[in-house]
Amino acid sequence: MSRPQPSSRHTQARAAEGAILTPPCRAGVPTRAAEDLVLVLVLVLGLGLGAVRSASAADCTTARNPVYVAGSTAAKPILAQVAKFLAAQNPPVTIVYSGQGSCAGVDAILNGTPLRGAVATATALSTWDATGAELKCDLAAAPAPATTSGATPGTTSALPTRTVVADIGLSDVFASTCFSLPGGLPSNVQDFLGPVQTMTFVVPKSSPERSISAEAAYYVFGFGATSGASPWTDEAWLLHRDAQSGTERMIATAIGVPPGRWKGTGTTSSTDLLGRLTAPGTGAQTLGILATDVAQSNLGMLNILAYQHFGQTCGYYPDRDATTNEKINVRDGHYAIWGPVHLFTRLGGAGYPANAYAGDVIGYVTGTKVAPAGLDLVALEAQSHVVPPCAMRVRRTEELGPLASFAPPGACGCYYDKVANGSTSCQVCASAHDCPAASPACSYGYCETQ
Amino acid sequence: MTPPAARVRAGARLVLVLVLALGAIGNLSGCSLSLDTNGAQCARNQDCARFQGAVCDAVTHLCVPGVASKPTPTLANAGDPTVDAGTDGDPARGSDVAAGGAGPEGTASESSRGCRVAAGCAPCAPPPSLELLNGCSDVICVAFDNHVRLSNLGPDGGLTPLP
Repeated sequence: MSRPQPSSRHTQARAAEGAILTPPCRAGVPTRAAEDLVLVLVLVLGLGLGAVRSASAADCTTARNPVYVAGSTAAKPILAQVAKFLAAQNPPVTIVYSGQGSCAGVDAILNGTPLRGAVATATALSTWDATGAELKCDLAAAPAPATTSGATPGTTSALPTRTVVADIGLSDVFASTCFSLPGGLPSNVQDFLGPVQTMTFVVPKSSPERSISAEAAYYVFGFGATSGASPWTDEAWLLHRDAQSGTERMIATAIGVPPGRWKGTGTTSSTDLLGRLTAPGTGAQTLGILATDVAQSNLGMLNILAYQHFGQTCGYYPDRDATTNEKINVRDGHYAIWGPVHLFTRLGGAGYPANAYAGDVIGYVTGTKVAPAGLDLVALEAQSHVVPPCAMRVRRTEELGPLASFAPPGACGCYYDKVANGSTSCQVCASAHDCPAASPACSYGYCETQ
Repeated sequence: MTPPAARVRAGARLVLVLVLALGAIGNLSGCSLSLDTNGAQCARNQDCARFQGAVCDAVTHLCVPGVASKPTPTLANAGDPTVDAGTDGDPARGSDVAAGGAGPEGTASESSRGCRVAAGCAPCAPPPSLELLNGCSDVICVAFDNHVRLSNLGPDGGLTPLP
């Protein structure tokens, strides 16, 4: 597979990145202090930023065959892997991503709100090259109204001032959870359902708490200091997100506390919340909310609480227990707070995504398009702590709506168990002839019901 | 020689131990002692004869109450009201599609309640949400006792309005 060459603008951006490191000189002679400053800058950029290369002057619109994606940050790891493979295709396709929160992703498609962001204001957008390296780029909005969906594939522009509208809005919640849509989505907007995202209540590692009920969460986040739900009565330590957050909106729907009425301390991002949750001084009185991909990546610092929904008599972890990763309780309906990742897009006249490349991205993420060789989405989703639809045994069609039994064709539950936990009790198969009558289909290398 | 009273006390202790042991075994095994919750319970309706009024679900291979199995909702038929799993709160909805020759025998929720066992879990894989939320499982769960830990519950144990 050929590796695409970076666009000229990106090349220039990397050159510019090097220019940032040029030591400041006075009268052409570097001083000792300047040399020290350069050393510090080199260390900060080299060690602190890791693989993310900041291209302060890069223009996002010069990316080759761009697909603009805006919204949830929870699905970014999956998007990054898909982006890596698309960048290696011929012709290459570049995902240009802006993590703004779920409802911003919905807004970007429903209302055509232009994308913008800049390295200088820490709002830069992301792209990925064929090696998977994340690059940053700027996108400034032009004063003129939007007329097209993104840049014309394969073209470049001199200035990053054109108006760009997202091709895909990425959201952890249904559009109706963000906006009042009594008539449903507009006819030219489609909601494609991707892997299942799970939301959790979390406490610092030092907390003795192990479970929480919907009733308790209702009182804690609905009443704050007067919740009567000890030990969670100090609003300084009741950490939540904001009204744009899919995490908060999904949990709000689950516990019956509207997003605008949450008590406690708001945070600007999952990273912000994580930092406060695990800061010195936290303990039994501390409670927060996080999506599982963030929570399970930080189990050394926090515990996920078992959750007991309204009508349940016991609380369940998303997984078999607090240490595994197979999401069995999400998949079979015991753990209640989950929903599919949504990929919203505008449809063209023929009923397909207006940007054909966006259709490819949607197909890969939702599993409806055969993934390129080497891209194991089920394994990737397991590593990212989300669940592909083919591993689910229940489904729902509205936010926290009623559960229905679900037997997906081409099931991948056994394979998901294997890649998530390292083992499965399912029978290995090469074809359906290897499988018993009770699970007659050979799917993903294991005998499944269908 | 052991006095008769002592023998009686020893016998009573033995009986007590046996009762406790049997009780503990019963509690540990929970639902699975009462009903077969293995992955595949049946291949045809006759296999479910041990459960009164049950039929074999052709998709899940589980014995389900005598309500006919319906076509399983999939992404392909999503939105088709004839294959909705009956989760809209209308207990009669969707119970008219027969499978395995069994006709409807009461509503889905009535049958589900009939299937519920003393342990409080529902082993028969019926579709309504609460049955799925409380379905039998061998995973670890951690109960949160609302009545003990929440001091603001209403007199009936319900939620009070938000301030």
